Amino acid sequence: MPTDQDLSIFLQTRSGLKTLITLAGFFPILLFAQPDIDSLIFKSQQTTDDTLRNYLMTVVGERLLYTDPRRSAAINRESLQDSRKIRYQNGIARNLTNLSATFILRGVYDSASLYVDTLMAFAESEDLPWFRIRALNRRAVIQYYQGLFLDGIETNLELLALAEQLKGTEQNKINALNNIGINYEKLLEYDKATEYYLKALDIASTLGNKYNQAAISGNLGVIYKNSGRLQEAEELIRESISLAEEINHQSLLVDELINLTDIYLQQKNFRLARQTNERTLQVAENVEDNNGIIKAIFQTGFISYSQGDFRQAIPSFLESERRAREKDDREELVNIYEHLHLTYEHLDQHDRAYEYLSRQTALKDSIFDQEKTAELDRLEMAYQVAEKDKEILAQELEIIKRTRQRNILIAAAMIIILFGLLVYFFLRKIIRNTREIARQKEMLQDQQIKQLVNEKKIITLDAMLLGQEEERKRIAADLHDSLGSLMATIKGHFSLLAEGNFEPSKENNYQKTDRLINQASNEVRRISHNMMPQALVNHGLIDALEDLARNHAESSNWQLDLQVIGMKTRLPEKYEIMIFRIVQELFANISRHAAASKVLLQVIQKDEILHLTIEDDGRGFIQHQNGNGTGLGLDSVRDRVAYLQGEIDFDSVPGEGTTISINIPVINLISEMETHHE
Amino acid sequence: MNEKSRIKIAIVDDHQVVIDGICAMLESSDVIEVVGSAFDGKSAVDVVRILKPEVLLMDINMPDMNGIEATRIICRQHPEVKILMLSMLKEQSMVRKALEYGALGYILKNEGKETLIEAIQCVARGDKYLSEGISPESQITDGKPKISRREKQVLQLIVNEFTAKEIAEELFISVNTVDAHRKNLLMKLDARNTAGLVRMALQQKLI
Repeated sequence: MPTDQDLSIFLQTRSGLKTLITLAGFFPILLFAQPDIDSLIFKSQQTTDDTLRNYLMTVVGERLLYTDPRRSAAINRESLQDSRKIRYQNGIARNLTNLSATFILRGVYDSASLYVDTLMAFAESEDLPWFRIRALNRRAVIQYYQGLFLDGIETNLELLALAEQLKGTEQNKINALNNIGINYEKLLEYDKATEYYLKALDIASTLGNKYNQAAISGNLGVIYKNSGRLQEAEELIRESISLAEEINHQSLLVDELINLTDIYLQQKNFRLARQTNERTLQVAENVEDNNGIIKAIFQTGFISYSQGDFRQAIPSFLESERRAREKDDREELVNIYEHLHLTYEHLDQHDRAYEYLSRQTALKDSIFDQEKTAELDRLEMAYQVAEKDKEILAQELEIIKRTRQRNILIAAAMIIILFGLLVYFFLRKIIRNTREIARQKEMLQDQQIKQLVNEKKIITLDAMLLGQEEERKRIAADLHDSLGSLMATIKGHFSLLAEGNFEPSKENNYQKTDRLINQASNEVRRISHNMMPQALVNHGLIDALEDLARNHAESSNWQLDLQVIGMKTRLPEKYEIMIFRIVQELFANISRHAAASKVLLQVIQKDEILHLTIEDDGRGFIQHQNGNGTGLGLDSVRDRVAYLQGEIDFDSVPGEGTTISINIPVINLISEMETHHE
Repeated sequence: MNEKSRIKIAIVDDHQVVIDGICAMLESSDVIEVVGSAFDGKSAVDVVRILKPEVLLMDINMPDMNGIEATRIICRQHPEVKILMLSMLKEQSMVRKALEYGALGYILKNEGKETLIEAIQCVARGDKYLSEGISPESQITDGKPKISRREKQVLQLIVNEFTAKEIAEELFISVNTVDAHRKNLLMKLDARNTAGLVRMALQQKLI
């Protein structure tokens, strides 16, 4: 799985370790190839392959890690977005790895932790064990810097367990073991530290990694030196020096030479110490290792100091002080001030001694302050970030709140509108239903009315049929009584004539017979006219009524008053006959019972009403007594008026006469006429 | 008497008995000569055209075409023929129609021989003849409608400020009838409303 690129990352991953090693007591050795970053950027801009461009930019980010962590972070962050876009797993993992490294190098451990956790989660979910190892390595480094040495050991042990399952992880093992050693050293567990350094050294030796061997040997040598095992320390440091020379690693060489000088000093071997220190200065000057130079010059002074030659020590101390101040190497300066203070003490130059003590204290405080300030700055920044986050969160919350409020408003409005619509439709439906019900009711009522009307018509029709039957009976009686008896008498007289029986009386048989025949023919005319007047059929209601009235007036000696107003058109024959019958009946009643001298007949048609008034000045009658008393006559009149849907009013005052008013709605008759004509 | 001086008549009646009776009645007459007869209105037209009678005795009640209708046709085609209606009916409407359609006289069937001859002679001269008691004049008037006694009662009560309900109770009639009377009064008095009725009632001293 590991490609060349992974190895390259791998090497750089080690740089975290290297820093650890340096912190453990070595002088910093920054080992990385200075790549042609510009050419890589150019290449990435030329390519059209997204993955290749992403890959190249990741490499650029890696290369800039130690020289420009900020730029590296920026490039890696951008690259991470691209990697995510094109779903380039390897790219994502590498970007996360690099980003965590940039933050470690800048001392921003919380951010670094965040990226490490992200990397770990990503590596686990995507099953990328190599990146899990890298994540563990970085976690261990962060824990070390945060002073969590036991946690650091745990993390490294986890890393070792994981590395055991994979091939080609020897280098990782070396790093982890070395790191454990460093952590134990911090915990002053020198035995444990030695144990892990030896394990690391064992693997490094098997691998033949001389840099590792040199570095670890140096670490181990320092432990021996600090625990007073000077002989073993000297051997290990010498071994380390020879390896550093072999691989030509100058900065490491400087570190180890300084350590060796220290050992010689402890052995009181001032000659070798001075020799070694001269070489240190030489090498350091060669590679322009300023810190090395300052240390070497200081060592020169310190050797004299150790020999009790305090005056001899002062120039070197002052020189190293000058250079340290120049390079602003404060830690070194504190050390130098301390020794200047001690030197002047020994020389009883107390004012100077106090001055350097003061300087040392001030610088220590300033370093402390600086550290504190840096810490405070960091805290301040973290606070500001947190505040900003809070602000952003608050804004987001505000937006969410507003959105929610707006949504609630919209929802409320919609609900109201919906409700309104529902109510509207509901009401409309109700109104429609109500209308429909009303319409049906109306229809039902119409039907009922029609039914009632029909029923009424049937009843009145029945009554009329009955009336007609009665009339026929009366005609039959008429024919039988008057005409029948007349004819019988005529026949008798005629027989006498045939026998030649002429009585010489005032009126002889012939004359009698002639009178009787006239009487009979009049009777026939009357009966026939009563049955169906010719005038009614041929000339209409008014002529027929006039004939009727005049006949009655003639026979009953009435003074007749006939008024006809507004009668323009003829009515359907059926109704003319019916109206004629009504008047005929009423006239017959007057003739029979009233003994009137004046009779008024009014026929007035106005708009849709046919109005009849028949008034006489006869005896009159008491209505309720005459309801039946007038017999068939008035009942049939009522029936006919009802059939015509008209109204009738009898007003009879005994001794004064009778007024009968009839109103008949003509429009019904006309519309019925039209229906009949259809 | 010169043969030519006799009045030529024809008789139209759907009853042979009637024709025979008239013929028998006029047989002995030296002023009237029956030249022909017909049983209905249609053949009467032919009789007039062929026999050219001076006077036509026309019955009214006949099947198919009645006498009045036949009179109208004959008078239009042969205005020189004098038509004397001969009918049992003495209804004014018949008389009026017959005269309107061109008949010159109207005689009832139960008149005696002398009256009949007189009527024929009268018509032949071009004079009108109507049997006694027969009038073509209508007695119908169409002036101001008379207010009936009942209507006067109602009007009186309206003037006395009775409501329709009170009037109905007073006169033992329904409210509908009161309303009908009121409407009739409005019509007869040509008033637009109750106030008009009251005004007209007082003006015309109807109450």
